[in-house]
Amino acid sequence: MGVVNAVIAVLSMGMVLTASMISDERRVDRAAKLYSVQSILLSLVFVTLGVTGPRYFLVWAASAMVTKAVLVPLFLLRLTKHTRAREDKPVLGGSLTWIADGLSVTVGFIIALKTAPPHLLAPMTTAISLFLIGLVQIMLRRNLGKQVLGLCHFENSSHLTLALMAPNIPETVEIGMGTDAVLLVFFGCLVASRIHGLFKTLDSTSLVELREEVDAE
Amino acid sequence: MTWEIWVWFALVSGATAVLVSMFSRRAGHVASMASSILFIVASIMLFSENTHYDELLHDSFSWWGMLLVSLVYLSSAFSSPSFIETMIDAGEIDDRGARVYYILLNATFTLLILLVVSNNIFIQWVLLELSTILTIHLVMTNKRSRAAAEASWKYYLMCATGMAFSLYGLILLYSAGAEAGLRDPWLWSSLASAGSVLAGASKTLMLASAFIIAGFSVKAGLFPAYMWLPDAHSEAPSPVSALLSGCLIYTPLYVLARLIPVLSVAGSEPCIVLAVIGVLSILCGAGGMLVTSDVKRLMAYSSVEHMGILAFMLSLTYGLGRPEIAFLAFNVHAMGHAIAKSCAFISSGFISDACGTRRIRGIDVSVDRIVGWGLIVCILVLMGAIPLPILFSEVIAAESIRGTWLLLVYLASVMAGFASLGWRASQLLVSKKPVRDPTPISRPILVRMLVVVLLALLIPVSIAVFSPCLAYKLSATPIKELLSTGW
Repeated sequence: MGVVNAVIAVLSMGMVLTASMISDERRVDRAAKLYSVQSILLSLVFVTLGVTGPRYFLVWAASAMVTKAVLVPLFLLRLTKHTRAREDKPVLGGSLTWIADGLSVTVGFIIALKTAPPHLLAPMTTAISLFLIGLVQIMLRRNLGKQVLGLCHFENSSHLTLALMAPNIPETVEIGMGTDAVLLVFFGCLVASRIHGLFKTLDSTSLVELREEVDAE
Repeated sequence: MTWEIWVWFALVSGATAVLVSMFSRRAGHVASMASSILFIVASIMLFSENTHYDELLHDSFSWWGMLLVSLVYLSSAFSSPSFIETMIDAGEIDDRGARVYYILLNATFTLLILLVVSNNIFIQWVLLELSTILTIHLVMTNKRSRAAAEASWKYYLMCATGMAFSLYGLILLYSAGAEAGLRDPWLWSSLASAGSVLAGASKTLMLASAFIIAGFSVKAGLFPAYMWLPDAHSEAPSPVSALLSGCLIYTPLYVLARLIPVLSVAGSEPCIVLAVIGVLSILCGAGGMLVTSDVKRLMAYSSVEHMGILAFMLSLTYGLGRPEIAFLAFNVHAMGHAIAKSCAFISSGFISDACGTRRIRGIDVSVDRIVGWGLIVCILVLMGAIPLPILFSEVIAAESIRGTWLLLVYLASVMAGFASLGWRASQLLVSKKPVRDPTPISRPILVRMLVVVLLALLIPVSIAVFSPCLAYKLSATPIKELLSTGW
């Protein structure tokens, strides 16, 4: 089991690294491709679990490969095909992005230390860190495509936690979550492309139509 | 298993309406109306069925939830043709868009019915997430509106984030159940009947509580992440606003109503957090109503206020009050709000179309007596100024509170909401500054009468409070009902 845990730890650390690279990358098309790499690493975690444990993890691996490593990046690449792929200057960029990601990993480690069993420390740190990196990305990045990728981090984080903390979950749940991941990104890209059509930008700071008009009378 | 037959009857009729809507928009009109009636028939037929727990469940709470969703479906389906045809005439939507509208509308209501009868906490989550995704597209039905597109984005981003939090919490809850050795820890009935067995995993449960409450409160439009709600609910077409405010923001509270007693095994913190969030939401809703000048935003802020009241009632049910009457108040309030808010959005949509503005000071309610006065009555009901469900439930909730300070805080916040909405309602009646001469509402009398019919439904809901049989059914908290069946 020691080798298996080590393989899972290395793969999950790779996921954190790709998440940080996605956060730092200002070209949305490149970020989408990096997300595909992150999802392949997630699939490999499932393959490792499936080869050494319950066989249903192999189905999870196949499903994650199709939905997250192929379909989701395809939707995002299609969005960037018709829009400007480069993000405007983010609210927090450069080395500050890496500092925010480092803080996320530290907080993730502290939470995992308190809640996860010792052999799951590394993958659970990854799962919680991915969640926090996603949250930071949604709050600090201006490009709608990058914000969708922030949501995708949530998906990968939940999927990893589900595999580690919720064994023997019914197949229907896995199918439901896979479908949800694809639809979430598909509809997100749909709204983003409508916004691009109407506002001619994917910069979220340009969305100011709904500023509350205070009734002073 | 006749109860399952009626549940499947509703689900199949909803799915059929989705399929039929693909062919033409006229077929979509008819199918959604027929399906909404069949939903109500199924709900009525389930009234006398006994409690059951399997992958699907049936108890008095799920029955009430199903009836609530069906009534909002009825209001939304019957008012949709009128709004959709107007939008087509204005070039805001084409025929294909109208068909997509009906497909998504029928699919959302079908998912919501499945949600209230589902016993699997993860399937409930998936259905809640899917219904959010579908309604995001419904909010931006008007393809020309920049405001609707922006509102959709805010709705998408905030609710998807909230749902991610709640999923994480559910995984932790499942993990606590599995750790405690439960047989099917993904089933609510299994978790709820475990009782103190779960107390061994109190650390995981506390973390799960934090994630679940944070996530579902975003979806329910509660403080602090309620900002998406006034935008999305006001920019959507009125029948979609009715769907969103009437039942979509109620469903996370429905799920929370089942989960809070499970989460409270580790301590009373979830109830206290819910009470604080509830009171702050009431105050934020009241503040929003004071500053807004838009009639649909006014209704949306009122939804924030009412979701706050419902969250507060839940905290009374599971720790801070007398459970039986507090849960009766929760159920009656939810139904009263669903009906009155659907009506309010539909009538405000008709009136603002006729007056050519959504600004409160530009609206002339006398443009149509039925719809105009219907809107005023809706607002009075929502304020709790008329002896109908909302007033009754607020009084019952006050009666159930243990502790003078808590009672004072509750009364002060509810009064703030009452005063804010009352102030805005008075402006609807006086000082008109029309942007143009109002055009008479051209909708058929039957469509306009929908508002009156829906408002009339509030009377039997009020009677429920005084009917011993129904009041008994509605006061049984889901957990007590589960344990009484010896599951």
